Amino acid sequence: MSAKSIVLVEDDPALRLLTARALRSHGYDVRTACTGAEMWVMLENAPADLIVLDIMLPGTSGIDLFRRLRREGDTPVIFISARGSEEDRVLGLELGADDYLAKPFGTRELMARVGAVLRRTQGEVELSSASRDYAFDGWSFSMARHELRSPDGALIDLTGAEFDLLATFIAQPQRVIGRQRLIELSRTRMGDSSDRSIDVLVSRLRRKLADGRDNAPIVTVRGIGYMFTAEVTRP
Amino acid sequence: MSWKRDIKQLLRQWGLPARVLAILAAVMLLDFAVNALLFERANDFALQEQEAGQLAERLAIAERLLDEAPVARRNALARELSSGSFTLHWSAQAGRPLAAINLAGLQRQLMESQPELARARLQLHLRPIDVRHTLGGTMVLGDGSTLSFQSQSRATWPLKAGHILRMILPTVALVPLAWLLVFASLRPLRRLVRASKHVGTPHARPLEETGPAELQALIRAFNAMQRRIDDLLDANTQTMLAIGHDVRTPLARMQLRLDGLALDPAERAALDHDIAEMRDLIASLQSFVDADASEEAKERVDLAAMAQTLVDGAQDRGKSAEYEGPGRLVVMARSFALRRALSNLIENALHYGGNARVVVSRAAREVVIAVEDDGPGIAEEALGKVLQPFVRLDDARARNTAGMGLGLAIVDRSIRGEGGTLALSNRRAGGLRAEIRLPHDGLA
Repeated sequence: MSAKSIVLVEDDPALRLLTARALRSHGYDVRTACTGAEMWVMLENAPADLIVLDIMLPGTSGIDLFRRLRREGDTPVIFISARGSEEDRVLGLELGADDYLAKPFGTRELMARVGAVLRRTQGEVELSSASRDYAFDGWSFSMARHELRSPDGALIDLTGAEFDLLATFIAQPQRVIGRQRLIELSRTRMGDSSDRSIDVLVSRLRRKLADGRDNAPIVTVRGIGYMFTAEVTRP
Repeated sequence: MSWKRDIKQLLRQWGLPARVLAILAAVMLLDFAVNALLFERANDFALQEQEAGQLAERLAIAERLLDEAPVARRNALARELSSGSFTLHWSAQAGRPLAAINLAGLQRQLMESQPELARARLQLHLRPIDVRHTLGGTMVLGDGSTLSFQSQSRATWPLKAGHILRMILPTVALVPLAWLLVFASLRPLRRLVRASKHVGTPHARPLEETGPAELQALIRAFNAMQRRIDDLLDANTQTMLAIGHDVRTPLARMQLRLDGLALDPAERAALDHDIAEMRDLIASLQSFVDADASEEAKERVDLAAMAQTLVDGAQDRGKSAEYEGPGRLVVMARSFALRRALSNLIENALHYGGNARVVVSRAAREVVIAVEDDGPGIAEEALGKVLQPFVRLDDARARNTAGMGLGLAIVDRSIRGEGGTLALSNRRAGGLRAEIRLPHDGLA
């Protein structure tokens, strides 16, 4: 299997070098650009599996570059931003970026994000950026905005682990998912991935999805795992 | 309607003295009008025909008898002719009281009944303040001496009342007018007072220049001052943010360099911690600025789910946190601001108190979110200070989250941005209680 190709667009020379070095040391094939123009030339020469793009660039901003990238294809993009506000993060994700990385970041965080995006777009969990909104029983679930809304439109907060668990359920509705598989999927989020913590997660999720009714659309399949019973649609 | 605008324009140019004068002129005009009306009424005033006839007859008889009687007898005669409700008094001098109210109509009525009264130059007057409803008058006898009389008549009461009213009406009218004047003139001043409370906050708006010229000048100066303060605060904020942004890139370089080095694990952990602290510091600066300038729109947010999620998150990290309250409570709020405020309070409680208890409840028109801990609390005298940004207290018990001590200031700002309040207090059982009150319009 050939190395994944990443184009890194960053105007700060030292940070560009350091980021590229970190990525290369983890086996990626990295090409670096310091402006949008350079990036276009590189992409013409050879396509990339992932573009890591600084939002604040001299000349054309990262946001504009991103919009053009989306018009021309669906190469996954991770934004790097020097503005760390939560609102910025959501703006980036709303635009359709695959992930958002706030400076300062460490090698571990960089690799986790890059790895996750590449895995996702590879089709392990088939999720293309355009269709990452779902609906079930009047609820709406947005992967891009990372949010869940009740039928009356109220924002319902979820912890990261709860969100991942619900995403897993929604990706495979009306199918029994083994407890062991759920533990594996949520291992990245929970420090203590025992059977018990999955049960805790499920009960919290049920409580939030109950919405005044008797039962949430998650049923326990004795001895095996859980099943998400609601019908999931993509609006 | 250009003339309307012209009048408005003219009014706007009037200073306070002109306004006072205008009010005085209005009062005088009113007084004049009331007087004119009252005199008109007095002129037309007439007694019932029978009463007038009797009075005229008595007056005519008295005049004739006294005129014919010798001077020495006149006093005694006047007394003899007097009765309970009708008294006569003769005086050798020719002096008449000034008629308080000219009763021309009644005078005409009496003279028509007894024409000889005209010869005696009958003059009537009404005693203004007299509980006995007396009608008085004078006649001049042939030798120039004066015969005066008092007659009680209930019918004169309305005239009297009118007269009293005339005397107090200007005062009565002046009080509300004066009040109106002061009220209207001070309205821009009150707006100014209200506006001054918002200087330096996102609610600050330039004031419309209305009112007397002096106040307009004051408002103009106030607006200019407010602009300067806003510019200064803006520049301040922008500088802080710019520093924050500029520091992020070198920090990222530092972190990546550090990750590439072969270091003793303890050393690495310490350096990682330092960088994390700097990152938190910048983030808290950003939050502080965002808490004020957020353009995020209000939306429906399940506050109960938000609080539970934060508590669950803390539990997942092995902290002692609990939630008490409804399973669902939807409010209108800016979700980031609210989450940041709650999260800061919970982190604060965990950090300084060792545990966090979040109690959400609904009151009549508000939602109360209390975050309590069992820690040492805050010294009473420092309670107010900890909400101020950039204020660091030396007292070890004073709370300052990692960084600049912006944690509670951010909460305060965020909650005020939501139209709510934050209050800190020490619990009697020990520990701190941070209470957020948010307006709640009764969404399900």
